Amino acid sequence: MEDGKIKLEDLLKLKRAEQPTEADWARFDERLRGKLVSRIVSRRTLADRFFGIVSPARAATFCAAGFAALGAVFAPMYIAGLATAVSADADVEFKASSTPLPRVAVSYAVNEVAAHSNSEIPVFAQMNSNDSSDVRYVASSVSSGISSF
Amino acid sequence: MSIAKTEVGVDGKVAENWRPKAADADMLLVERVKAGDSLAFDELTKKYRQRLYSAVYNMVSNREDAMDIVQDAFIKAFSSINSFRGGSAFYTWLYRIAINMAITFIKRNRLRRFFSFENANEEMAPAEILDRLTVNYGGERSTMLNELKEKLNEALQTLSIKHRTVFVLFEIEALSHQEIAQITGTSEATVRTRLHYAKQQLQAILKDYLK
Repeated sequence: MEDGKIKLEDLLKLKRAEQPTEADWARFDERLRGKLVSRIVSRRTLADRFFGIVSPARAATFCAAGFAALGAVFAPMYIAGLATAVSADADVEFKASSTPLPRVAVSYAVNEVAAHSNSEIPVFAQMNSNDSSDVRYVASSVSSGISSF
Repeated sequence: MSIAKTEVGVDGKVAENWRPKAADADMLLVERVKAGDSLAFDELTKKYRQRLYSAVYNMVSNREDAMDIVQDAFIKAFSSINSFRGGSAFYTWLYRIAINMAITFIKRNRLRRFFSFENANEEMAPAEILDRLTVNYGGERSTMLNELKEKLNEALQTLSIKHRTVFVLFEIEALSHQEIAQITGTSEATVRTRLHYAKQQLQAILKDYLK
């Protein structure tokens, strides 16, 4: 204020003092309320449209149609999936059946058992190692009764 | 639209005692709005419409546009009130919405700019400034008052959006550096730098009018 000069701060004071009147605010409130209402109404309109379509009578139809559509889309995929699973199992079965079964040859060896029944008796089996079978079963017996086999 | 002196102190500065109480009171109102109480929203609107309007008007320099932007800002705030978690003060959140909308508006309407201007009401101008104008311009005081306001508006529009935002929020809205940093999403140092630059620019533009 000194020496009558106008400063930037003075201009800013003018700007700060610049405010709308109560009448302007009343108009502001009215328009804001109008915008809010129109926003709510437009939202409700969309909701009403949606729920209008999905009325109870039509809901069942739409649900049925929806399920049918889902079924039409997913059923082939499901069936295809099952078929794939079945064919996979079939492959396994085929592979299992095509695999040659092991040839089994049984060789019997008679354990030579000592005459003393209470003594610890080593058991040995004489293997017919020259045989070309895949599995060998070794039968052993503590008693000599196996010899009658 | 005329000028009224509302919520502005004798010295022309916005009353600054509203902040501390505002945050707590606002949170209560926000909770009520979240619970569906529309009266609480009305209270928030009445509480902040003037500050938001002032900030937006000084950015866009058009009263009707400023009114529209502030209304839309309130609607946006209302519709997204559930996203407000209270991490910052409600008014900074609200300012941020309004300022962002004003910036979007300015960018969209770069080529279509016209500023509303009206004659200043001398009754609302601070007396000390009127005295100075009388000393300097005598009978042409009123004309000069209008011209000064017009020139200041024009000068503000020459600032970039970033500088204008910071300048308006600090010098006219009397927000702190920290609050402006929150609103603009920048650091306080950036706010200070922009403010300094904006003042220099305005001083240079208005040098013929600032004696």
